[in-house]
Amino acid sequence: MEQPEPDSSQAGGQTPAAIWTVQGQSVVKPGNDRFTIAGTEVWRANEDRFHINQKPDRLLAAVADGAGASGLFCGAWAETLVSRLPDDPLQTLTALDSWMAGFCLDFGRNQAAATAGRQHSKLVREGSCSTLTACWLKTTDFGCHLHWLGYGDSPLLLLDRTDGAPDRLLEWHPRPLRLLQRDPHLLNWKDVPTDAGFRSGTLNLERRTCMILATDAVGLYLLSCYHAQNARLTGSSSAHQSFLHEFEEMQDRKGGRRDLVGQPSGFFSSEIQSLRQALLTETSFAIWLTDRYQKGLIANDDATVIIIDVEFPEPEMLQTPLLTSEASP
Amino acid sequence: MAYSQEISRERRGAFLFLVDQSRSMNKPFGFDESGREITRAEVVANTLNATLEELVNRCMRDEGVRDYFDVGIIGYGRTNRADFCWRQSLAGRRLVPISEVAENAEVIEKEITVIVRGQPMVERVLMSRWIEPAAVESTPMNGALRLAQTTLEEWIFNNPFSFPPVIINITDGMANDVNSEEELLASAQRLIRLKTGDGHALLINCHIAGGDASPVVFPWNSSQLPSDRYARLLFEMSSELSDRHRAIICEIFDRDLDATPAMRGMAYNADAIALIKLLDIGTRQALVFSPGMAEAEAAGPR
Repeated sequence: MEQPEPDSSQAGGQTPAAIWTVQGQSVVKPGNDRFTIAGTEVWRANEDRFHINQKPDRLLAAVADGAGASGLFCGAWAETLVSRLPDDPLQTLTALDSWMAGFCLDFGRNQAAATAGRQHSKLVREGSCSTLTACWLKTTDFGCHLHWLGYGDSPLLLLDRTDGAPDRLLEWHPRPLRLLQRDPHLLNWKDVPTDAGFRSGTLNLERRTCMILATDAVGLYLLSCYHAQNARLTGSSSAHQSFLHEFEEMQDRKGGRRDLVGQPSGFFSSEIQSLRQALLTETSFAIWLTDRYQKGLIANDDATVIIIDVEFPEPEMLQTPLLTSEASP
Repeated sequence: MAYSQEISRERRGAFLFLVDQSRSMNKPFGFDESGREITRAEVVANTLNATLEELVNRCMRDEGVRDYFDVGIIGYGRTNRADFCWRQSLAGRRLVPISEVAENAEVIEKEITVIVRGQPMVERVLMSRWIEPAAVESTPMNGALRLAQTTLEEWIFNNPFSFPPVIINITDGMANDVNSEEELLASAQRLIRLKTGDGHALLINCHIAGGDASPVVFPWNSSQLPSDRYARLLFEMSSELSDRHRAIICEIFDRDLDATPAMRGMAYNADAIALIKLLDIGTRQALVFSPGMAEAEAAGPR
């Protein structure tokens, strides 16, 4: 399956109420592996996918992390998930399941028909697995309506940037991390999605915000950056320390701690600024990722990031409450 | 020692299975799905074939089977000396890359029922076999340990920074190619002293019996064993497991990790279920190539 054409350049959707800019990139893990097939060396392919669909008054953005260790053709499955998302939000588990029912069996049948022997056996036994994190933004008379869903460990961060830089985490997924450690939750065309894996929320954004959708290694790194900075400022008993402790425990459990030898020490907003620059091209994002991997800050994994900046040009909007939450798990 | 090296094509791992094929392996060890009595040798062969199939499965990607592991099986007891027991086109080979293991299986097709979105569906899948049951002669376990040592010395020379090799020894009795217990213990300890840059070789011993005695699996103290000299000898012959293994075992067996300061890689009086669990846990690092692999690990064995 072809990697979608990255929507890497800044793009805008504009209505009287809100403006947004979107950047996204996806690159293969920095310490990638290669192997030999019939005497030819082949590099492992990126199994992350992302998708951005903008219309004048709405935006759909999604990332999916194909879990190649579980099942087969997980990159293709991730591609199917992000590219088939409907224009209207999937707000319930039932809606997610009904949507998947429309293409799951076809995907399975088509892949099974294209395989034979041992691969076929693995595919019919295990299926294909991927995370999915998506958000739908729609402008309204009162600001910007956000619905998001998360299935699996691909993070979503919603940050307040009233003062220019993103400096306060308003909402995030996944949490708590320890739930993911015990049960990672992946969407599989073979399986009916479960309530335990489904997370969603609906919010009205009424001030400048920054939304980040990412796959796990880079997304958890960004969350760590945020909490590390705030832990330095607030002391050892804070919720930020709790997050960092939980994150370290998870890495130990996953065996991923071998990659991570350092803790982020810079300013979160500077790191986001640096990431914004890096997202301008696939090459610069790969360089940004490799630098942090080599410093032991990011685990060796495929990496995908979408950053969405939402602006509200009317000055009077700044007098309204920052955020109202209609529903949050 | 770290026991933390990520498995990759350049830093591949090794699994070496030692299988008792002595006459006593003909003893009954339970019943199969149709109610037929089956022997220890049959259960061991079936379990080992399933383990190899799972290893192949874990190394399989869209493009084919990646050579993340070298695998060997040493049989002891088919004759009075230990030897690798690959068959057909792999006969005469020692440690074999997992892609070649996959290509050289005896394969049969079987219908299985899989659940697709809640509905049962019948599918045809391949089942592979590499080893057949054997229960013939005596128990030259010492020879098997020595053959394992020379084989792995060479492997470590070629893979000095890899995750250390894992040796899983499945037996139902005491070696009879040694003059003393100390001689057998010395061979095991020489094997355990082998090391890569990432840690010492891990020797896991599984004693199968299938009688009324309760299995003791992954003890942390010899006082947990029955008062049996052979049990204590196997305990001494077995590696202390890494923290990662310990965490996994505590999770699977619902043990308190904090109250389990150490753990030996052994089972005593194992029944078929204990044997399956031991092989599953002993090969768990096959699931930890990358952060993505951990998801499969957390999802558990399939």
